[in-house]
Amino acid sequence: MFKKKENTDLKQIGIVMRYELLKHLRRRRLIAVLAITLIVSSLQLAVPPAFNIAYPEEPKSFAESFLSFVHLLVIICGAFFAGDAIASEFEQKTGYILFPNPVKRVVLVAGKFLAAVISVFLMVGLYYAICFLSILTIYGVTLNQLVHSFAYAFLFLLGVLGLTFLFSSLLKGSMGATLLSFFMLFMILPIMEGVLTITGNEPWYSITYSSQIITEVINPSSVRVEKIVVKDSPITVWVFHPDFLTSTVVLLTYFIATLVLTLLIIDRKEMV
Amino acid sequence: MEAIVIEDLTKYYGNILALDNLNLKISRGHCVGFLGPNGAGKSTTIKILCNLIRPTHGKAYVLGFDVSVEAQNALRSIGAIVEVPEFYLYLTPEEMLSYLGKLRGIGSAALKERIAKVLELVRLQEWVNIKIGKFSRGMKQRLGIAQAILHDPTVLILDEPALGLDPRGMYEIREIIKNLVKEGKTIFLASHMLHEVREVCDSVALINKGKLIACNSVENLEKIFHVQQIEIETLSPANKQQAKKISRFEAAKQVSIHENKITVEFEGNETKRAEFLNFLVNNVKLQIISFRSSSKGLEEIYLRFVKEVS
Repeated sequence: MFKKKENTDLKQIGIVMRYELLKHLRRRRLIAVLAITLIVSSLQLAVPPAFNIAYPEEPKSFAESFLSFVHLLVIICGAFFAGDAIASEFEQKTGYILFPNPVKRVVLVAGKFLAAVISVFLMVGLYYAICFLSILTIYGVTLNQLVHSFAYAFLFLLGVLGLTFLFSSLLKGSMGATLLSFFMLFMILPIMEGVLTITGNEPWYSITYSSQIITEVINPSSVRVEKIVVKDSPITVWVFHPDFLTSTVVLLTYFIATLVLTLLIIDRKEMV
Repeated sequence: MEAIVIEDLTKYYGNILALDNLNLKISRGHCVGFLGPNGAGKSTTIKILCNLIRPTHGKAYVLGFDVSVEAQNALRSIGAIVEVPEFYLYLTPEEMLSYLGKLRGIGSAALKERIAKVLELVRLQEWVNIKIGKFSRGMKQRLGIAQAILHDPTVLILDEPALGLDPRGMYEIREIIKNLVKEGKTIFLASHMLHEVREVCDSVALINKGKLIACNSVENLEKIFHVQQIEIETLSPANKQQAKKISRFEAAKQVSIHENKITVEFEGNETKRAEFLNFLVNNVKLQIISFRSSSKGLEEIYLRFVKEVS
């Protein structure tokens, strides 16, 4: 006989998180995303000189251009690190081993979520570090706005992970959850935003629209709404610039609401 | 105190009734076989006991804890194999067991020692650092047993633990279960292998179409249904005179002889069986090589029950 200590929820969250991080490492997903991050950064830095194109004159313009990839990076990371986090336990039947342990399902979700947050944070953080060093090297300056942008990127990653976890808890298959979250964030919501914008409606409630504050904060627009009427044409073009406070609230809402829904679903989901 | 109590357990999957007011009590330290045809409700019962699914109605208690309400307390004393165990293929057995052991609060030093012990018990000690992705089904089954007993649980709920194992593996698993019974563990064993149940369980619960149709010791059931069978192997075939003598023994209801093998449908308890053996040696003058109760008695009961209910 041996001693067993009463585990606290917090300790169990830490254990689940560590093994989930090990999963990302062993399945080479971290390495794959790391490779994507490094390749895209290198291309951003190497392509202009290769074609004799000068970098933008302003460091802010450079940062805006460089950070435009952050949205996609977060979405890719979300799909890689969260798409199968919950669905796989049911699909691959590993839940038959994991769930009959004295661990609350909330604890399991929290541990897995934290592992995903850390993984995405590391990748996005690396991308921002490369951006910071590039600006310092090319322009010899530092941009304080990068810190704000990083904070908004962090909020966006929380929202994306929340949404992906929700899909992962709702769907039976990992692949379905991964693809749904990727297409929802990369195609469906942007298309919806485009349609709404054409009609003059600001899609302020969309997570991907709100995520535009990541680049908007680098060089904020003085106006919120631009209405461009094309001369001798019935076409009116609307350009919306997301409001920082509203977008912050929207991103936080996505994160909290999706995570709460995930916890409610996973607590009731049966391992049939 | 009962180890497992199941009260009016009912489970619907949509419109399909999987469990129909199931009632069952298993006392501490007993090994109970859980028998029934496919779709009878065995796995559903086990899944409810392991808090993998919720009952539509009724309660299931493990060591007094309602598994739906106080799941953590109930699961603390349970070790389980549910269906065919699947593991994280990117982990080694040591890492997998370490993960589960840590979740259960076993200290590092004790855990290391315990992992080595259980892996040795299921003969996976040489595979300790090989990723589970390379394991065969039988090896995963062994690892399933290892994780079920890792935390030295009081109650073991085993769903077809010998599934996919070779004959040696099956024998070893039976021996492990027998030892666990000797240690005083409560075992609830769902199996289709009747000889396995006959060998390790002291009683059986028969279930069909979600209803409990019988729960008693194997001996009692055999007695009630007059289906106990004894198989005797002799050095040389019994002659006519010897066959006649055997038939005259009161508890021997039907005797059939085929070369060196005698099969007797028997009605009686252990004392009667001992008397019968003595009779065969001293009166009939048979040279007996082996004398054992056959699992065919249990098979007969099982088939009869399932047929009757159907």
